[in-house]
Amino acid sequence: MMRLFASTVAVACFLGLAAVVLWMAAEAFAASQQRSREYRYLSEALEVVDRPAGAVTWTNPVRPLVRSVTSDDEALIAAALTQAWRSFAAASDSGETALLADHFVGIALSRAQLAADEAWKGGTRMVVLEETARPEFLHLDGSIFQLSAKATTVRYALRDGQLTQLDLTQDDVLTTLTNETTGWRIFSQERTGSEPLTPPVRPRLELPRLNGVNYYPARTPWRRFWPEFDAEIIATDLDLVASLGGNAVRIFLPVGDFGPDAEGETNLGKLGAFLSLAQDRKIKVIPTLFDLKPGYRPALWADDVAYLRRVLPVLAASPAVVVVDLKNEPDLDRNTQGSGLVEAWLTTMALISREIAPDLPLTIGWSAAEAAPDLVGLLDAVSYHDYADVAGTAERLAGVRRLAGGKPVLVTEVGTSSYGLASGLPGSPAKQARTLQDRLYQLEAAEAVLVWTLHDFAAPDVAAVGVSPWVQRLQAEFGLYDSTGAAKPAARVVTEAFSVQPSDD
Amino acid sequence: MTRFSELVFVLGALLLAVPALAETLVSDAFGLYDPATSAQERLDWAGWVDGPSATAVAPQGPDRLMIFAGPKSLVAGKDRGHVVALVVDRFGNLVADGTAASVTVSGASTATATTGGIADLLLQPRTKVEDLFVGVTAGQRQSPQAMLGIVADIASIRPGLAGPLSDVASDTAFEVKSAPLADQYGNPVPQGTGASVVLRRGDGSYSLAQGLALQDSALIRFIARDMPGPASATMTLGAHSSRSAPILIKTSAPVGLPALEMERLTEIGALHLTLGPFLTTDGYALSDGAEVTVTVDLADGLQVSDHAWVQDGEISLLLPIGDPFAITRLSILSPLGPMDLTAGWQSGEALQPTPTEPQP
Repeated sequence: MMRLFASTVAVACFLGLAAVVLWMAAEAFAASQQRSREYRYLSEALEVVDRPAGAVTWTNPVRPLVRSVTSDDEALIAAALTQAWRSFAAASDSGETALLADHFVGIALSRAQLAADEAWKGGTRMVVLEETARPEFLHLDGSIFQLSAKATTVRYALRDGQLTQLDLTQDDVLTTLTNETTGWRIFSQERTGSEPLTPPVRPRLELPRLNGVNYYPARTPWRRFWPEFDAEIIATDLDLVASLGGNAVRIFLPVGDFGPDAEGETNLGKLGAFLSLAQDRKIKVIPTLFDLKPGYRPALWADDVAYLRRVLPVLAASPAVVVVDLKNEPDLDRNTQGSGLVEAWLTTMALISREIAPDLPLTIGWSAAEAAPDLVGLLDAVSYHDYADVAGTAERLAGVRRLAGGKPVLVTEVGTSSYGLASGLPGSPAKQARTLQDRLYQLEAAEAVLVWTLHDFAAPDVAAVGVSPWVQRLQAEFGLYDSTGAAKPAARVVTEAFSVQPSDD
Repeated sequence: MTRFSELVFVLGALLLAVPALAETLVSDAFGLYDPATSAQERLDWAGWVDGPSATAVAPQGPDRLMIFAGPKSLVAGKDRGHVVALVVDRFGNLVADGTAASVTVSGASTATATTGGIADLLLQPRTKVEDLFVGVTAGQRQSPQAMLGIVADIASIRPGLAGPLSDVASDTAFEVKSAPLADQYGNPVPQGTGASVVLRRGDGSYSLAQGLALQDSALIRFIARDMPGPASATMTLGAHSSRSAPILIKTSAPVGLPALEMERLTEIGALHLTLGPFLTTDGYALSDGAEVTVTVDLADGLQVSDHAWVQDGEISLLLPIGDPFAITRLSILSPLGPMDLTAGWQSGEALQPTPTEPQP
């Protein structure tokens, strides 16, 4: 008997040791993958920005010009303005003011260089997000152009990494450009007036109790979702969500899939189709914007605003959209990007979203309850993800609710992987079900609970989960349905939980 | 004691207040800045400034004028000109709207006022070719001088040929000249304007040459080579062409037949022919480069033909004929016309077999 016990202990120790060794090897492999990567071309190592979105909208001149402004003129000048202010933001952000000479000339060049240098040293930034321009003057030979514009501009200041000032204004500007051998350049820029963009007073958001899942199709998750959009599969999946008792899905709109190109236009159509499919089934949708956005550098903020201009009207037109998640887990970017920069970006995008779609409720999908109260004043609902210890789930929810100022509290990601290496470690389908059951029970008081995720994925996207084989395997098995489409025990648990907390819809 | 404590309090308050003031940022057209640490010049940038209190910094009076006059070349009677000056103060700010300015065109001034720092004058089309010197004045400042050129309306020029064209001897250079060229307003054609003349012959062939306008007319040069006979000349300038005028390119007449010399190359079964000189009635031999075609008829009915170009009055060519006695006819075609050399050939004067080397 003693011998049997000793051999069992030995086997258990061996298996445990083997698991630890395997885990360490996987981590080492992942680390080696991340430390060193070879590129064939420089362009592969850079964040390539596709053709920048135009940040200028034209209106007709009030008085006749001696030479009419053609659509080609407008396109060229709009591109020049967009690139000039993008380069100004980049120069302020990098201290490299030499590049400004490509876009500014004369008086404006000396002023831009001085201002960018002072901004770089003083921790301030100015970003022209978009302009509505009106031609005022065009030389008969096309050598000078002057416009007046309403320029939506954000100015902010960072001190010790923290945001100390942010002004989002609509400036009245008078811009004079000269047509140089290399194209239009800004010769003079003067601000003649300015009005702050103040967010409208929002009524309290009333939400039905939302039960649902974070959604990707099983075979086309993350970056493959929109390019390989299959309406039949999605309809089937939405029916599956409804069969679980769910009434909500959270989806993701990667910045790369909704660009200012033909592919982006096509994907907007697919987004509309998705929302229609959801609406037909009375399933509410929480679209998450700016997914897989690589950074927050101010030179690209105008592109982000252009993204909002494309996406938000589609979302605002659909009654299925219940609340818009501005960004997934931005608090995780604070260490690498700087908390002040992240806050400035989120604040700006929230305020611009209000301008574009005043009636769309906004939230931010913080990665943890600790971050949830941030920027609560800007938002209609507070949302966070809870992957922390199950034991404190209810306490965390109560803590967030205390700081939410009476706004709805949405827990937009909960879940656990069923992946087991051996002997139910680290997880198993049964363990997943138990954990989810406990979690959902503690979240009864939340206005929304969305499980991560509907399906297991054979190949999680490395752009989202990284290259670690260990993380990849874990991420592959968070689903309520396995890779064969069979329901895991967690599906039953979720169905029961959703039935206990019926939808108010 | 009381006064001292008050002084300490005031000093303390000042020490606290200075950093607070230094933190107050001001916004302008190029961002946020701290007026306490920013470059002094930035405080002089005109426009809306927002900070503790919003205000508009007004520009000062005119200091510099940058002139843009164009288009530089205005077509008489058609194109308008535009004289524009950007007027800025000593800090580079656009001057206030309504600032008085004056635009001078060839000595005549026109009063105007700035809008958005711009003073401008639109010139209506002028019909006389001339150079216009323009400038702008604002306050006590003047712009540099700029120039606009009024050029002839080339599109309205109707080219004509100058008088009847003389007959031309072959192989000589000759010119086709236009009548005086002027636009609809009487402005002469601009120097260097391109024109072309086409000589068309009855068989559909043509010769084209290009030339330039000098003084008030265009001159186009040809060399009368390989283009004999009557032709019609037409001059074209822009989109307009003149009426056609007849011209005769005289044909040179041959003086006798060219001398024929032949060398038999038995090793390769060929004949080396030398023909020339090709004498003409003009007093000089046929020009280098003239094409001559030699045609040989053989007794078996075959015909051998080849061509060569005259060099130093002669041609030289190699014909693949092994047996010179099989030749029944020898003729040539040159710019002097067809010639039959059969008689000379049959006289046998040139036919001397080349001695062959004894075989080893």
